[in-house]
Amino acid sequence: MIKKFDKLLIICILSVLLTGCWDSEDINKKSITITLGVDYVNDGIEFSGELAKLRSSPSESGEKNQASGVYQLLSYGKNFEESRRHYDSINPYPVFLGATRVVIFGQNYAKEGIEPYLNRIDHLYDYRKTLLSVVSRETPTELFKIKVEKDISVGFLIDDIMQNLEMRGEALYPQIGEILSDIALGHVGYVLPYIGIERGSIKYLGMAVMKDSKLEGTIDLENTHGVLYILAQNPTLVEVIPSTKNEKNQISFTTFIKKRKIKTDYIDEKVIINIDLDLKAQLRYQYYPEPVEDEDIKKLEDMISKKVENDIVSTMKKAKNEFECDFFDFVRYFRAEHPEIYKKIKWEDQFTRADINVNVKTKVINRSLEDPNAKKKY
Amino acid sequence: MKNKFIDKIEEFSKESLGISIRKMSIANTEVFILYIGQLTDKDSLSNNIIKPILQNGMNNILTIEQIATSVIYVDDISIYDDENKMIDYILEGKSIILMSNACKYIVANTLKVEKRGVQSPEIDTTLRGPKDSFTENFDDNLSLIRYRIKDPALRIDHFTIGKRSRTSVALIYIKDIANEKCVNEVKRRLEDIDIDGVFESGYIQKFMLNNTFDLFPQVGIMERSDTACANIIEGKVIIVVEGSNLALVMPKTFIEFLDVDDDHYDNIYLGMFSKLLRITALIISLTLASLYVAVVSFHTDILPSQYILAIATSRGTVPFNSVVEAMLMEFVAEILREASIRLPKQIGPAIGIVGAIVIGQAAVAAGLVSPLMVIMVSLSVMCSFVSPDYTIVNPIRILKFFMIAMTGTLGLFGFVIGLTFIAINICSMTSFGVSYVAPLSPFNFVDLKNYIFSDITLSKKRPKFLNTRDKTRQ
Repeated sequence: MIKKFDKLLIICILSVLLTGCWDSEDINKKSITITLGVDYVNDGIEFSGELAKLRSSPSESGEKNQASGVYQLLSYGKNFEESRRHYDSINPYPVFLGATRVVIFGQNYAKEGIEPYLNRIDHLYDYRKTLLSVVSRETPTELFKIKVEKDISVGFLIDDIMQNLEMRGEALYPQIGEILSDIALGHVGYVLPYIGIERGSIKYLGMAVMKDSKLEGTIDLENTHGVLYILAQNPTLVEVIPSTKNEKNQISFTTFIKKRKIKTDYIDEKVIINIDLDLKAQLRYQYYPEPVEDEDIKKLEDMISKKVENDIVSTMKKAKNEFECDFFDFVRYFRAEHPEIYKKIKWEDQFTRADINVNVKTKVINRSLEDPNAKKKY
Repeated sequence: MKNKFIDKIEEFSKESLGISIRKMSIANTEVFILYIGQLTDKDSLSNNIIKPILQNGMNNILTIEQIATSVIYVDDISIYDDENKMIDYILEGKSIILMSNACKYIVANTLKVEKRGVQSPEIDTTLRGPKDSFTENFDDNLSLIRYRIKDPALRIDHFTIGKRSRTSVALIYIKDIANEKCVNEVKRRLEDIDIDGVFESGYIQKFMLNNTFDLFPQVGIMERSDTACANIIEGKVIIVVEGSNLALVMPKTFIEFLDVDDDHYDNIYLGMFSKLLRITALIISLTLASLYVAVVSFHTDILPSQYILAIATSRGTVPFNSVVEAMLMEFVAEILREASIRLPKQIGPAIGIVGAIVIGQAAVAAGLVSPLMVIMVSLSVMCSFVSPDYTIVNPIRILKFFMIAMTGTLGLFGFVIGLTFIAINICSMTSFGVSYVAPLSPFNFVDLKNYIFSDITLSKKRPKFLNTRDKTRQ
């Protein structure tokens, strides 16, 4: 039998011996980078970050199957390559970026432009393209000094905070892949989560507006509703509206988007953007329970619509006048609807002059009824 | 007067054949009874043969025919005249009655061998289902089948295989159901067997294979008589071998090895669930260790970060790379399994303790292997016990190492190549003319549905791939 297959066997054995991945190292023989911070310090690039601590120190006894913590990482250089060389020269194992959860850009570096590093992420094969990137008010090294007790490490904490907020519809979770796609499109800005340290704890502060991949400014957490109504996939926001009857009383609503329609037009050499939002608002509770009539509901619906409209319009104004950048991605709608015109115009200029009409309709649903047959409703 | 039989008797007595000779004198002549004491029911011999002959022969003149028809009480008798065949009958456990003045002799069946009673199955255990399993006794095994299937079309073809052991082998099928080609093929292969001794159905099984080097079994083994009968009624062919408590069934396809009678007797949902469980377990058993190697050594990125950290931390102090670790642990697990089969029942549990404490806990504590690897190996071994027919797991036990080697060399790419090799091997096999992967290929939806549901009320037809004569069940 062996004689029959001798050639096949030789081919198989040789191909296995010659092509086998013999230089591959197991995961425990790599420096697993959980978080990476990039900042611009003294005209040079500073890499900081967290590496998983795989071996317990001799003082820690017993079997440990959870990552027992992280090592701090710090390296410098004039450019990425030099900084990486410095990193390699102080670490025992090759770097593994496949487990990296978040890349933190220091404010200084973000102001200079983060595109080079985004391109580096794009082309280094082991980086995940679903990575979260954030801009930090403080330097990344300061962030990593914070003692985290709520999570495994700073990186995990930031990623978990952002994931949780995104899941609840209260923030955006822009992945590197999406940002790269925005950059490829050109003429368009984007927003990144903006974080910082407040009272010794890491906090989501709002959004960092990036124009040409450079930090242009920030939007405070309280003012992010306008962005979320346009950009978030399923924004679920809480709106507090004063009662129509009693000034002291407040009514808490959760709003969801039922339908979002963005249409663009080009009339008299001017871009028109029409935004139609159909909202559903769920009455959660009142600060002081009191009967709510059908007319009150109507008024409340109008008030919610007005408030949301104002939020959006004020953010739009900021985008047009202050940042002069379309981080709402309206360009995608315009390009799809008017491809010929798009080729002729310069979007950055047109956007700042554009007419933006926002039309919000709200319907209050689920009024927290306890007894639907009660004479006095609500 | 001396006849040719008396010469034979003298010849037998010269050689130490262990043949007992009982000589009796009756009115007109001398009667000889030849038998082997160890194979003969002596009570039957005394009461049904010797006693009637002596009582009747003292005063009457008896011929050999009269003795056969009117004197002895044995049910199974025949009259022959070929003196050369005498020795064969005696060795089969029959008693030979001959008279000094007759030219014929009587062969009376007085066979009695020591046997154990019908007991519960040991390898084909079941929660729900009859417990009468085959024994080493040929007649008992046939009777277990006969009493379950009273169909006049049931055929039992007898063969004697083994030049020296002269083992009885029965081929059992239902004439108007079983595929004729398959029956003839099995008969042909049985007739072609030319060996000196058969002591287990495993010998016959090897001669039934298409190719000695085939890895996967094409012939099923069964210990329980109800399973055997269910297979006969399905249109399959059963071989029962004298001296073996395991019957052979053929043809048998790959997925049938994962079918259990309990599935058919129990609730439809439970049957489906158990089947799914068994298939999953078989796949886990084959691939778990190699997937571990692929993930740890080559493609860690396919896991979420937190899993990567968990794996890396659990391997923190392990000095071996994952391939060596996986090979080592699988090898140890196989040693434990082998040891537990060979050990007497009384000290069997000791192996469990040694395995769990020494190999598991101590190896982890010493930092030689990662706890995750111990979990993987234990799970893999446990999964291999789920299959009802252990013969289908045997190739998996070997292929597991092949998969680890392939994955250790070429990563996930090697894993896929390994699986493809195995799939090609399985797909290119046949079992007595039936595709080994039927009903998946050639695809037959109804057969597949019937296999998954395992419910007799939904299976109106017999499987198409068996190509039976009678295709309808109900």
